[in-house]
Amino acid sequence: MNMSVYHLHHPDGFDKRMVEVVEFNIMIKMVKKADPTLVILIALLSIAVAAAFLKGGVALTWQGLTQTGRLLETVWLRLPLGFALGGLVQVLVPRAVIARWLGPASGIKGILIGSYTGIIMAGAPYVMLPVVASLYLAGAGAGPIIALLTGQALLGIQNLIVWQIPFLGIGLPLSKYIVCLFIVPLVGLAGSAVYKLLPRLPDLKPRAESQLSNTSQSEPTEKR
Amino acid sequence: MDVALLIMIALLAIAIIVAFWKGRWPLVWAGLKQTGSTLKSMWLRILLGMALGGFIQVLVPSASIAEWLGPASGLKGILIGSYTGLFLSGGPYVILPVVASIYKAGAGAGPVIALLAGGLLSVQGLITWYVPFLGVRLSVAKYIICFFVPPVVGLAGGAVYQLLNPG
Repeated sequence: MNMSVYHLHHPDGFDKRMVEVVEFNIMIKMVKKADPTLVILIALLSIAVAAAFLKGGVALTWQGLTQTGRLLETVWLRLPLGFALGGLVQVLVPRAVIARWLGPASGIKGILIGSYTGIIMAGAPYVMLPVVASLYLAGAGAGPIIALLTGQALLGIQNLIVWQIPFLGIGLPLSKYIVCLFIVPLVGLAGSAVYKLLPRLPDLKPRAESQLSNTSQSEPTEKR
Repeated sequence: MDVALLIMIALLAIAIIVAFWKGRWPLVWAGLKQTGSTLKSMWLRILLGMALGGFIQVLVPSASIAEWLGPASGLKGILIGSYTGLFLSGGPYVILPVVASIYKAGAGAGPVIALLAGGLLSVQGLITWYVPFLGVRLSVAKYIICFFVPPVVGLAGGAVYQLLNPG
């Protein structure tokens, strides 16, 4: 930064290339520090704006912005309401309770508990996955864990309220939700069968433990 | 009358009452603070996601969307929706604006439900999150099955939508 300031005041006596290298390094550091999701979004949006400009000039670019405005008009009030609801659900349902429900259970009962626990399980992957991993290591079977992960994605009530209903209305998300209530336990069952077919792949659990949990799905065992 | 908005207001009112009943104002305040921190970290992503949705709507002609994903596209539309969704990257702030734009442009209920289910099960998180936290075996087993889920959800969801909205 100091170098570019120096460059501004003393343009003649300074190596411009060095300034460029320093500025480039600063830019790289800023990109590395930035939120990767935000960087990807900005890149995708830049591509979309460039494509619109190339295809239809300023008129099509303006049309894109108008469509954005219309979408914003539909959801501006629904979104903060959804976020408020999400925040309250997070403080009302403690993660320890979720752990107690799913922990030692296995078999069909565990798969059903896993599937429908996914309904109230909320949070970013970096919050949710450590909890799920600890349940898995504490003795939960592959089926309940797969059902829990799929249930969280397809049946998560927070996602339904915060995102799906504001953007799509009631009909489509509700139809999807009704079907997923039945599909998610089946995914847990099928996932458990596929898991047993993949014994050579590296597992989070030590081999002996995962074989134990495979053979005795219906007998909850204290592994740790 | 916006039914979606009314339901959300009712649910929020219930959540505030439950929080107040359980922990009085401190718990209600904790919920609102949680809301503020989520909004603070998300607002820019949401705006960018909506802009992306808007541009997709003007870049991909409605005729193409109707042909690929329209109500008459049948199984082909459901399969296109499913696998586009599975490889759609980004959080809900990207997926929902894109899905809503495609729906507004004339896509059918089945393909949109398949697209939504695919987007929710996106393979994007496999390498970034699932493998590091859960190991290869469990992650691969889950994703093998999830590869077949969106078309089934799209087919069945389309039928349920017809039942809920006859005509």
